Amino acid sequence: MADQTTTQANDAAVVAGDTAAAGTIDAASGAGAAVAADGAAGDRPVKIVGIVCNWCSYAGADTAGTGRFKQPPNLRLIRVPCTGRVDPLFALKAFEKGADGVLISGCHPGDCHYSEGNYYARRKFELLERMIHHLGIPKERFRWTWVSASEGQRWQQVVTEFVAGVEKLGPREGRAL
Amino acid sequence: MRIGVFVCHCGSNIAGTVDVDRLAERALTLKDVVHGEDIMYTCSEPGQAAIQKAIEEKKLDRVVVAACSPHMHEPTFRRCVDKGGLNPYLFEMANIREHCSWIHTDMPVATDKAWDIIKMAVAKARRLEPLFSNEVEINKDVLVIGGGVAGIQAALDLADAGLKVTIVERETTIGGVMAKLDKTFPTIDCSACILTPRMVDCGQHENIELMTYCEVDKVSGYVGNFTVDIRKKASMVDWSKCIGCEICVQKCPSKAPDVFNVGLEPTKAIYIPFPQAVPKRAAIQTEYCRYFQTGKCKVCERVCPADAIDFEQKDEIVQKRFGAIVVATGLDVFDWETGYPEYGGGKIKDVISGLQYERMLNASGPYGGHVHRLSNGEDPKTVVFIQCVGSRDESVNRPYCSSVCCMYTAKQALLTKDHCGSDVEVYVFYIDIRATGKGYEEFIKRVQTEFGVKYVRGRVSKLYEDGGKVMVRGVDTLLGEQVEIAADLVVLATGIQAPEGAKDLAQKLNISYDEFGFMKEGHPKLRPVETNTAGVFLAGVSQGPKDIPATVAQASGTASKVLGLLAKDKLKTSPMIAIVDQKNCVSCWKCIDVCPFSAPEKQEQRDGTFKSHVIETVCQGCGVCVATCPVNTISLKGFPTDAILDQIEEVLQPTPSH
Amino acid sequence: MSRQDHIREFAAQALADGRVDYFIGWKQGYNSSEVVPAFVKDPADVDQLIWTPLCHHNLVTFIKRNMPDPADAKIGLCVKGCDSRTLVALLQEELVDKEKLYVVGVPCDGIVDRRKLEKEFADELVDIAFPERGRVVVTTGKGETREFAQDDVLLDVCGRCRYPNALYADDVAGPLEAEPDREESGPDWSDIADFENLSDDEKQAALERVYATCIRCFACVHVCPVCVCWDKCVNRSREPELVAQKVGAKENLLFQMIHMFHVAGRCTSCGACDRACPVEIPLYLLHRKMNKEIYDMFGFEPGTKLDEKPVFQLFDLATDHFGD
Repeated sequence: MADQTTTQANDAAVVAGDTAAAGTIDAASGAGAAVAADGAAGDRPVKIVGIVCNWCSYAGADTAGTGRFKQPPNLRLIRVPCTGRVDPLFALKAFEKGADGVLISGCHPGDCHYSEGNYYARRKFELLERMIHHLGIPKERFRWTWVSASEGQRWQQVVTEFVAGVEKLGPREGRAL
Repeated sequence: MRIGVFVCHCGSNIAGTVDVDRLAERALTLKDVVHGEDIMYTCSEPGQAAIQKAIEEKKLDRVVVAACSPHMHEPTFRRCVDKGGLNPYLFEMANIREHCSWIHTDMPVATDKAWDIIKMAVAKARRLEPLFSNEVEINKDVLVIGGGVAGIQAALDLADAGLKVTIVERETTIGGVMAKLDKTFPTIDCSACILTPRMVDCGQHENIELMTYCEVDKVSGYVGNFTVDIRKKASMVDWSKCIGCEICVQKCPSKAPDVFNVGLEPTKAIYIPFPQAVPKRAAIQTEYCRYFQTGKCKVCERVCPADAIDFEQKDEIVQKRFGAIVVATGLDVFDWETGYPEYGGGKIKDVISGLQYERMLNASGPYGGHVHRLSNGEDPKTVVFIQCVGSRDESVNRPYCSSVCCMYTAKQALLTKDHCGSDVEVYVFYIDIRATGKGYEEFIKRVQTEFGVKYVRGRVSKLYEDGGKVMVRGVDTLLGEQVEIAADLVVLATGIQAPEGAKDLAQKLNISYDEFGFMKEGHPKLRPVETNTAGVFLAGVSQGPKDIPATVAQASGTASKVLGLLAKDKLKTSPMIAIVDQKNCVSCWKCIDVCPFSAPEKQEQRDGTFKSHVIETVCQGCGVCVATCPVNTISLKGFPTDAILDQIEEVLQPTPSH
Repeated sequence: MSRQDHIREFAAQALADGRVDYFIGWKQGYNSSEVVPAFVKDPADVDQLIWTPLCHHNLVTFIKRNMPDPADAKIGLCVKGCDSRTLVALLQEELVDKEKLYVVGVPCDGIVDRRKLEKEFADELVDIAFPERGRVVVTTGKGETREFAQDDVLLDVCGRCRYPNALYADDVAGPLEAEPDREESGPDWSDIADFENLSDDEKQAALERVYATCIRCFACVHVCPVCVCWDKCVNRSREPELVAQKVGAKENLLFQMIHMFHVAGRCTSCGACDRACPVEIPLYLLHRKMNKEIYDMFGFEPGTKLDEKPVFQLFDLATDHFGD
């Protein structure tokens, strides 16, 4: 019943039509949407915002530091008490402000210092991840995971892998979000 | 606003990779920063004095210290600024050591990153507000989980100091693994002679309540005010009547595996683990009891002189309140049968675990201390010990050292010579000898030289039966050749692993544990017996493998920490909790839905409407409600949303490259 | 008796009995091509209430905006199937008091999309008539008259309707409409497939293009029946400032994402925001996608069962394996 004459279908067609053009020619087209291709922001080092819970992942990053597990220098951590305190909008805010990647990490399920915080968080993060892809932010630019206080090596591995993935895409600028 | 930024060299720990002088100077370019200073060791006395001096002279109203992790020194610096006349919560830490200098090698890169970290901390500092602690009453009773030597020591120390202690032990008796041991290294003194008087002390102490055959079901509350549900498992024996006479055990017709004797010989379905058990009470293992399996028997009921048998008994939940909890859950022995199929996987009768051998050696064990071959009862002529079975072996996911096996193997080797005569051949296959305690190395030397135990450096690749012997095939890495020994008895130095259920318990207590199930201490050096959950402490092997001297020392350390905590009558609560700005509350109650602690409540307003209110003493400061509130009218003190947004914004400001 | 007659009778009765203080329905707008919400307090005024395929307003929006003030008002209202889901969503969270409501369910065979009709004509519409079921006759100011099949000019949401009858009602205005077999087929998400199939760069370009036109009038959040922020919307907060007040594609998109996350698990894709948008931003792209993912994650359709809770206010250890 949703045929081609309907308003929403029209919108979709408008959207799809525009971008079919925009996707191939980007900002230079003038007429189309002025969004830079992902990763087209030159060769500055990528900057990644990390949001970690105090008890597990922040401490896991500490453990990695104490163990001198070398990591790429692109990550900037924000400490919060619990992943349950992380509003998914923080990640979107970071992208809006120009983050090249966002990493969220907390306690493994069952290990939350507050018992349940990460159980709520993981539902939100899963939706956030799916929506971020829908917004045209490549999936390599967002990751959420669990790292415990004792997993220094795992922290090193998570950071190294994530940064490598973001670096492969390059820095981003001039994007809608 | 007047912010002071102090950048720590930490000797060369930070200054070796980060240009701290330049950062201290550059901090002055940040908005509101009026003081920038680099200090060799900021946590030292002169370092703290410098902060206090700057607070006074420069009239600082916020302090940022760029140094190590806040997990390391946040409390130190909060105290420091407090003494300097500033509210302790107007302090923020920039972690440029663990999160920067220690993980990077290139100075310009690390300095750029440290600069970002400092900028973020300053951005957060601008949003900090003075916070004030509340005081709550504390319950001074202590729960000790686990009745092994660690739990016994901690309980006795605490009880002697006047605190009421409850020991919860899942077996019917306290004593733990130490009660199973024959002798202890390096003194070869009798384990029971040391332990059983302590067990009796526990049983008779006016301040100690023993809750054996019990388990912790549920834990709620917080430091000073824990509520714990304890499950009293049905023993089918009324312990208020049982006198521990063992007549029921003698008469019981059903056999059952004997956990205490590590399965060497069966016990009865109704059992008392060992004669010195405390409390000495019988319990029925219903899965082996003839009555419970067939509905007929009741011999125990008939013979019991105290009329204590109660076949209708059910598990019971007892709720108790405590101010502090000590986790002393001990260990399990590595399950070598599944881990090492190359050693026969339990099918070769004359291959036994170290703990089984301990029971065999024990004069009050199932064989009265007679060392013999389980296959034919003969005295062994050649005994081989294999070390590191379930330790230092990544192939069985036990990369860690169990820390006791070198020594107990040496002890058992010595005792073998002692029991079987000096002409018995004793070999020990080892990787390295770890004998780091007082008198340990000397003991090993004595076993090697005085008792003639032959140490072979190398692993055993295979055990198999041949001609009535256990063939031990391995390698001597010092000689670089294959070795094959025809043994009569092989004893595996089985390692230590976290006990079954350790992770479950850790989750109930909200404490961290490592991938092997050992509980994680607050800090390996600074807070070795505390956990990251206030009011929960560790003792013994629950925290990691250790021997009896270390366990007892740690248990006493834990007891002193608990005493320190409970010496106060009131406890200061963390002011870093959620607070509702009621003028914007839309009464959607999502905060109530998600709070793990039931801290938010509906509070009636003057106009008869209801708005959310967070009960201060219940809130633990996780912030789940804050992230859930659609109008952002709940804020988390110490981690306000605007601070997080400012940190995001600050770090994403384009920085001119180094 | 027509559905309209039923509505008038139920409303008159409830008002006369004192069961409600006022009754919310629909009435004709400034001409017969338009319908607006009606608030009737006097039983004598029930004749203004109408029921036509132009009654698109989700009247639940008005009860969420008026509760809890006046705290003791008893309210009657009409709900279509789609509207009833938003009411159920509010009831799930006890955001409205069941005891103070009188709900008349109006079985619905599809609402006409007036915007689609407008696009067919250069001139303004003065009359839209429904001479019989399925026929739509449109007359313009200049007297041009054309007829359409109702199915051709329905709102898109109606084309995918799974709930033509109210899920929660005290009384029902006439016989129920035929229900689709919901067991057999899940929700139809084909409307967002085109967008989903775009590349990341194309999506970004499309969003930039579309959201640049947003004027931040907040009509979408005002009309949203499940948004509980009322006038406290965090979108307008400066401390904390989740989104800048600047009107730009990034900020506008972020503003929509804030709204979206705040109604996650409660948004029923009723389409009210879409219809309210004066610059015709296809807001459904985000909301429908969100609901698709929530359905995929939890098998959850918001606002369909009274005894459920929105999925982001709870967790289930047995079935949640996200991130494992």
